[in-house]
Amino acid sequence: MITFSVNGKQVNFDGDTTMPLLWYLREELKFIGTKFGCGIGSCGACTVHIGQQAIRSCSLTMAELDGQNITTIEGLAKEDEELHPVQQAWIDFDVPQCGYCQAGQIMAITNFLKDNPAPTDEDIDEGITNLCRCGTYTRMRKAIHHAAALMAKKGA
Amino acid sequence: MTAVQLNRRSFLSYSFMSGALIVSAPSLIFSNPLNAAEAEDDKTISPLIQINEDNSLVFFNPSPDMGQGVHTSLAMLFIEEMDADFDLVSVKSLSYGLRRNEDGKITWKAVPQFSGGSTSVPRNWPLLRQAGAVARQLLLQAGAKHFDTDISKLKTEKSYVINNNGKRISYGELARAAGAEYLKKDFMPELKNRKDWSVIGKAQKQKDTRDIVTGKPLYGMDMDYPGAKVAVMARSPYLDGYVESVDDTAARALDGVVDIVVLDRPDTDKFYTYLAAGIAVIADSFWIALKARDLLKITWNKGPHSEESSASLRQQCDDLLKTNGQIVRSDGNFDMAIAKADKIITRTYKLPLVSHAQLEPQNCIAHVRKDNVTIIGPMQSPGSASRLAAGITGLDRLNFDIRYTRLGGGFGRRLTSDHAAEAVTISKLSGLPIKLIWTREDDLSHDFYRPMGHHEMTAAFDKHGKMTAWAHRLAGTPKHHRRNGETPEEYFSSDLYIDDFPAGLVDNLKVEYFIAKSGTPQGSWRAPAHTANAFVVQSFMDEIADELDEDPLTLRLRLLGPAREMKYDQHGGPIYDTGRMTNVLQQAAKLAGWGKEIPEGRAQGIAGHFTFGGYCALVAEVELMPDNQFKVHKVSGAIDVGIVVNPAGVLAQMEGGINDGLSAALGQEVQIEGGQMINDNFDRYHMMRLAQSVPVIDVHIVDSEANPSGMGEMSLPPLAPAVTNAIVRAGGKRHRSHPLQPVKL
Repeated sequence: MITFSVNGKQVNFDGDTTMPLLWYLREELKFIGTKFGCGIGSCGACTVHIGQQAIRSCSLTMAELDGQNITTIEGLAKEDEELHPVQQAWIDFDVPQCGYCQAGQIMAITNFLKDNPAPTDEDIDEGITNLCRCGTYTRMRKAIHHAAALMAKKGA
Repeated sequence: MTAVQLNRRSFLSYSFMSGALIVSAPSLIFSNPLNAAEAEDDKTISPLIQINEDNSLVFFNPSPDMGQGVHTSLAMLFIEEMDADFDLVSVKSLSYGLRRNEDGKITWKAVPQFSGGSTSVPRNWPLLRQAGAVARQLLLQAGAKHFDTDISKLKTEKSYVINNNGKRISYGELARAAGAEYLKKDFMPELKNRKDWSVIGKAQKQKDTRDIVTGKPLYGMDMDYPGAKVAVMARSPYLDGYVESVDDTAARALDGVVDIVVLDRPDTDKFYTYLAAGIAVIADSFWIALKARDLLKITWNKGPHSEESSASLRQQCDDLLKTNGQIVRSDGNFDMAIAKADKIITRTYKLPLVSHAQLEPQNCIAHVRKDNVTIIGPMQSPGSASRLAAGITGLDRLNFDIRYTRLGGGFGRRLTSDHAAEAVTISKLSGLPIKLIWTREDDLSHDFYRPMGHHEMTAAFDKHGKMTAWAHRLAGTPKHHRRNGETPEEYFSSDLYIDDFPAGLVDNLKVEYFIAKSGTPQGSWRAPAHTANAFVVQSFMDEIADELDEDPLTLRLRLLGPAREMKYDQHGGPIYDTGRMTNVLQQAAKLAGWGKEIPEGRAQGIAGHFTFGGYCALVAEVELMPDNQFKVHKVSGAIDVGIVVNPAGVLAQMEGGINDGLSAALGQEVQIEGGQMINDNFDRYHMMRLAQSVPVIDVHIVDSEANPSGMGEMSLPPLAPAVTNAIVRAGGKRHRSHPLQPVKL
C-alpha cells in the first residue's frame, strides 16, 4: 500500500506501481487539470508539485510516491479563494491561447518563483522549459515578472 | 448600415430552459428564405444566446476555439448588436446542428460550424451581428409593453432597456416576455454605426482564461462519457502498411483489457481522411491499454512506401526541377524576357515536412448505437467528422450528436477528422462507447504534415533595374494528393497561390508545379503554403536587393508600385491591395526604426506577406552568436486585417504567430526513413522553448474600414524570412532551407 496526499487529501494506492502519476491523477482522481502532452517528461504539460519540487508527472511512477505531498493545478488555490498570484497574472496579462500547456506552465512557474523571487530574463530562460506551441512565451515572460512583483508586495 | 429581410417571428425560435430565454439562430437570415408555413414547423434551429433571469448571458459559439480567440471575438459580434453587457457573458460551444433544406440536402442548422483558414470572423461578421440585432429588437418590443410605451421612446444599454423617463428593466427580467414577441413581417435589423460600438474594437480579454488557469475540464482529453472504455491504437509504422498477422494472447490476458479489434486500412478513394491500418486495444484505463498495446506481437506489411526517406523526397524534387512541369500561370513571354534581360538571378529554397505538434494529442469519444452516433472531441471541422461517421456507419447524419470541445491547439491538424473516424470505427467494431487517446508518438507519426518542397526562383531585370520577368517553380509533395475528387492537375492550388506578389506586377511571369510522389499524408498547417511561399519569395526579395545594391524595403515598395487593387482568385481574395501591403511594410519599418541606429552587433531584416485576406509585415532584429547561431531580440510588426474586432486578440495572435513561426523555422523537420516517421517525440522533434522565443514584440495595428479578415495565421509567414534576411544583414550566411538550426538525431 502506498500512501500519499493529493491537494491535502490522503489517498491509499495498491494498484499497478509502474503506472505514471499523471494517469492516476487524471483517470482515478479526475484531476484533469494536469495534462498529457508527451509522456516522456519533455513538454511539461503534466507538471505538478511534489513537496518543494515541480515534477513532470508522466515520468514519475506510483512506486515513488509513498509519503509524498502532491499539489495539482486544482489545489494551487482553493475553490472560491483568491487565485495564486501567477494564476492572477495569467488572467491580467491574458496569457493563454489554446491554454492546454498553461496549467503545467503555472505549476512550473509557481515553483520556480519560490527559488527565484525576483528572476532575471536569463533566470527565466534557464528555469522555464515547458513547451507552448501557440507561442505565448513573450506574454508569459511579462506575466512572470508581474507575478514576482505581486508576490514580493504580498510578502512585504 | 446593413439591413436584412426577415419575414416573421417564426424565423426565430424562443423557448425556456431553466428559467432562461433562448434566442435561437434565425436560420433564414443565413440561408435561402423558406416560406412562413415551413418555418413555423422548423425544428431546426440552434440557440445562439441564452438570457438568464439574473441577467447573465450564455453565448453559444459556432466556431471551435483552438486558441485563436473566437470564443471571445464571435461573442463580441453578437453582444455588440444585442447591446448587452459583455462582462455578463460566458461562452459555450454550440452543439453541432444540421437540417435538411427544401431540396432534401443536408445543410447547417443555424450557421456554419467550422474553424479554419482564418474564416471564423469574416464569415460571422454579418451573421452574428444581425442575429444580435434581432435579439435586441425582441427585448425592445417586450420593453415597450412593460413600460406601456412606444419602442421609439426606448433605448438599450448594457443589458437594460431604458425608458425615456429614466426607468430601466434588465434583459433578464424581460427575457420571458421577449420570448412571446413576434417580429413584424418586414422587420429589418439595422446594425449600429461604427462610432456607436462599445464592444467591437475594444480590447476584450479571453473568456475562458479563468477556467484554463484553474484546470477546469475544457478539452477533448478531459471529457468523460458514461461507460466509455479507453482505446489506444497500434498503427502501422509504415506509410500505407497494414497488419499481416498479430498474436494478441498476452495483451488479452492483461487484467482490465476489454477487447482488441483490427482496423483495416480504409479505402482512400472513399474517405478523404487517411487512416493508418492497425489494432485497437480497448481497456478500462489508458495505462492498461498502453501496456496491452506493448504486448501485441504484430507483423506489419511494409506497404508500398518502405523505401521512402527524407533524402529520397529531396532527390525527387531536385530531379523534377530539371524537367518541365505543369504551367499553372503564365503572363507575357517569360522566355523572351529572359533572353533580353540585363540581369538574371536564380535561387533555390527548400522546405521540409513539418508536424502540427499541437500540445493536446489527438483524442476523441465516440459511441455508435443502432440508430445514432455520438462524437465528442477536439474538432475544427465537426462536419467532416459527421460525414466520416455517416460513411463508416451507414447511418443518417442529420441527428448525430456531435459536440466539439475547446481544442488544445488546432493549427489545421483537426480539420482532418481522422481521430473521430478512428474512434467511430472502434466503437462500431466493439459495440462500446470509446474514448480514443493517441500518444505523442502516435500523434507525430500519423500527422497530416505540412508539404515539403523545393522552390526554384528566377527574376530578370533590365539595365534600369526594372523587373521584367519572374518564375516560381515548385516541386513538392501536394497537400491535396489524397483528397477525393481532385485531379493531379488541381493539386497545385493548395501549394501555390498564383495571384500572390509579385503576380500582376511583372509583365512576364511563369509559375510551374511538379508533383513529388510520397506516401506521407499531407494537410493544412497554420497558414498552409503561405509559410513556405512567404519564406521563399521574401528571402528572394532580399537576395535581389543585394544583387541590385538596393535597400530591401525600397525594392519591395518599388515593385509594389502605386496603390491599386489586383485580382486574387484564391482564398483570401477577391482583391489584393498593393497599397495595404505597402502600408504595413512602411508601418513596420517605422515602428522598428528601419535604417536608424540599433544596438551594436544587431541587424534588421524585413518581410511582408498577404495571407487569407490579411496583410502583415515584420522587422526582425537579430544578433549573430558563435557557431552559426543567432538570437532574435525583437520583432516589430504591422498588421492590417480590416476592421479590428478584438485588438487584444490581434495582439495575441501577432505574438503567437511570430513565436510559432520562429519555432517552425528553427528546428522543426519531420524525418522519414524506411517509410517511417522517425522523430516521433519532443526529444527528437525540436520545438522552441521560452529561452529562444522573441522577448520583445512591438505591434502596430492598422486602423481600417475594410471588412475584417481573420487573424489566426497572418503573422506567421513573414517571420522566417524577416529573421533570415536579418541574419544576412548582420553578416551571417543566407539560409535557403529550414530548419535553420538542424538537429542531428
